[in-house]
Amino acid sequence: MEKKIGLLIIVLLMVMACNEDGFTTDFVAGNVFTDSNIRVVQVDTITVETSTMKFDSIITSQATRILVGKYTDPVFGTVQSSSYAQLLPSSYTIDAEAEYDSIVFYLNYDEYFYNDTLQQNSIHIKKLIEQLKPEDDTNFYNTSTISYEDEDIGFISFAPRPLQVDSLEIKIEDDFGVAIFENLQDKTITDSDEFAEYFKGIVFKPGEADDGSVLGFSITSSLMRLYFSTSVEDERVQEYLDFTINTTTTPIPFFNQVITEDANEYIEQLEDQELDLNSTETDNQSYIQSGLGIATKVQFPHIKSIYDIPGEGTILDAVLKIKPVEGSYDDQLPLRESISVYIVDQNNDLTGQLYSADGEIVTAILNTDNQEFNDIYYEVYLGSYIDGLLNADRDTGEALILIPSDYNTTVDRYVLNGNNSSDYQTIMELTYVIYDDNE
Amino acid sequence: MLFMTIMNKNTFFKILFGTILSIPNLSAQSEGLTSSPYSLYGLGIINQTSIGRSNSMGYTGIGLKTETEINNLNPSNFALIPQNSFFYDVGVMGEHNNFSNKGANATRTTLNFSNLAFAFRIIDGLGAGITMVPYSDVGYSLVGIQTNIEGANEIFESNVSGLGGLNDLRLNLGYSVMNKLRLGVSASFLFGNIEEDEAFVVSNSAFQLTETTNYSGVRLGLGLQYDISEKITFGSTIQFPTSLTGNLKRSVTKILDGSEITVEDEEPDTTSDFKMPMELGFGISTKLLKTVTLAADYKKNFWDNTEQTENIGSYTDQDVYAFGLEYMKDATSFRYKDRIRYRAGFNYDNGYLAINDSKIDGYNVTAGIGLPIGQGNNSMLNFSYSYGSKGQIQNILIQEDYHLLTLNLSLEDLWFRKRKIN
Repeated sequence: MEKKIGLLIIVLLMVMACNEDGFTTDFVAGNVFTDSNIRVVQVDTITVETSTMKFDSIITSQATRILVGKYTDPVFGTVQSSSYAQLLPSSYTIDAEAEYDSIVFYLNYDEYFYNDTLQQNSIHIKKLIEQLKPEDDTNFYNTSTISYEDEDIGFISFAPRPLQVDSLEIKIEDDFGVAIFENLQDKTITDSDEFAEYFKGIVFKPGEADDGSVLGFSITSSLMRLYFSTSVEDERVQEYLDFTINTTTTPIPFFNQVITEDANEYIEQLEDQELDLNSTETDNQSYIQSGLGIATKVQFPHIKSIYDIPGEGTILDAVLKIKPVEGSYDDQLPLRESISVYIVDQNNDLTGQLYSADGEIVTAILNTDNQEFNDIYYEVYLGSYIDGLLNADRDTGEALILIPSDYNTTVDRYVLNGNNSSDYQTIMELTYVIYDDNE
Repeated sequence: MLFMTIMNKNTFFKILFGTILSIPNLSAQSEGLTSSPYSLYGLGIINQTSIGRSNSMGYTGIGLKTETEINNLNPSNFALIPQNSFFYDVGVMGEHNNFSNKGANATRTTLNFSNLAFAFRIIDGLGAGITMVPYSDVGYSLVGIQTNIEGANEIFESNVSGLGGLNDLRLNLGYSVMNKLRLGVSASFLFGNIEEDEAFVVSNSAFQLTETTNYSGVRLGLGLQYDISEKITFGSTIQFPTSLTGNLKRSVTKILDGSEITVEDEEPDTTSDFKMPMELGFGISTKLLKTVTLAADYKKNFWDNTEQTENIGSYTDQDVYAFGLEYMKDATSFRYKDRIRYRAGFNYDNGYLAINDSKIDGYNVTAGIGLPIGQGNNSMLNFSYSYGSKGQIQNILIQEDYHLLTLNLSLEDLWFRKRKIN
């Protein structure tokens, strides 16, 4: 008996040890041996509602570049950017023996430019007559204004070479230079407060009649240089004092002012941030102008109609395809590689950037695979965003907007096709899987 | 001494029930055993393997009168358990499969548990048994099933796999109405899980659907055996139709933008019950020349009446023909060699599933040997080998050849007998 039980246990142990299966073969049993239990459908008929909105203002005091220039555009009108800055000297002492030589402003290109650089640009430098203090004590906006003297203290008319040349050299009035020189030499001005009180700052303004390009200059390496010399024995030794843009004070006494005039009738209507101008009312177009805070808003009001497809299903992918209006872009008005995607709330206040489920930033990527057929479009992978919309209990009024990420330091503009365009629609391709047909 | 035997008995029960209860995944659900693409349909491949010598005798047993071991194919045979005997039987099986279709073939080897059973006499002429055998096995893996994406000129390729099976826990009672006539009744509790899985990748996303269906149901059966003469026994069985209740739980997950999302987590969903057909069986056995036993069975399973269909096939009436023989020189001989049993058999099954009107039939050729363990009881080590083939290489069908080895430890314990001797 004991033997048999022992034997029994051994057999059982053997069975346990062997009770595993090896699912390794990749034998294809034939396609028609069974059907898939699953249907996958691609749907591009979901309504994509596009509209244009405009932020009341955008903060430009945290800009990373000096943005100066002016262009006239049939859609966006005359777009003009001026830059306001406070300058501080690197030192408040000048040797008593020193003699004034000259004063110059060096503007260093930072390689950003937009629109026609073959046209002559001009820059007027004027003294501010008002302190660079923001009205709300925290930020300057693209709409902020600061008064300045009518007279230039410097001027240049030039052919822009943003990629070939390092910097622009602008001669500044000697009267102005001498006055600063003497104040420092006489120790009338000994610190930054006194200096800022005496010299409130400058503005770079494009010429009134300019219609060329808007150029970007480095905020950190552009500076004003005051040359002076001292006699040492028989030689004159030249020295200089640099005045750089003050970005360390809070609030930052610097901003770009971006304004527009005579835009088309639709953009002119955008006076209230909460106004959505549906592209059905604007020639089936929607607009983006980064420096002015004009953004294209994208909504999916009937997204849940995907569930009208009979059966239990879930989405596997969602790709939004937006095509820029043909002829609205060219070499001077280029389509950038990507446009950022942000979320706005029901009041069109920006709440943040759009991230996908794995924490990646979602952007609209330019697809030029079929460029030869003029089939150029921005595609946005919205899988996890749409999945979220479908699972949301109620509509929060949130929406997506498209605007370049550096909207506070650029003046790029886009004209995009809406959902009802005849030649090319903005569409969303949804990949939907139905895993249970019999509901 | 009496105390000793009782303790042994208790020990045995402890082990037996401990095994059944504490290791449920070691139950007769032999996962992945069939590994046959055909197990995609219905409840899977229906297991033919039984207990004891039947495995090597072409799976015959309905009309096989046996007093020396468990015969699970006819409940009336449980009436013949000798006094003071306690039978138990543990089996394992190993299978080597070769699948081929028009263009390819693949092989797979699996080893698994095949049965657990015991039987005992209650009173004179009344015997009972509890057996646990796999009823069906599901184990398939189909790769690269191509389906069109509707609304696009693209396809997706999915992989479908299935795993699981049903167990048959059966209570048998056999009663000798008179010397020549025995009647039996059986109640099968059929239960188990079948898991079906489909997964695919489309554009940047992945999708996986897992459906686990739990089936359970009770099936009743009757059996009789009648000794036409000393040497000829006739048997008949009927399994009543029943319906297995299916409870489906569905889990759906997807990977979207690189993160895994649970769409459904074990959501219950409706599934149709699985209908089991009425099964009618007849068998006859005869002893020739004292050394040879012949047995023949015929079974008809009335699948037509279940009116069930699969997406590419339907269930049709099934006929199973089985023949077996056993040779043993002399059961009472003192020479071990003479007590060894040699067996052979043949089984033909015309199939219960018709795909495009062609039935998936199959046959088995079996052979085996029974080696007695010890003397003075009926304990035996049974080996069987079976070669089988089913399906055909035609159009979409697959031919499957398999070699099946079973090893059964069929043991007899003699209880209370020692008291007599003492």
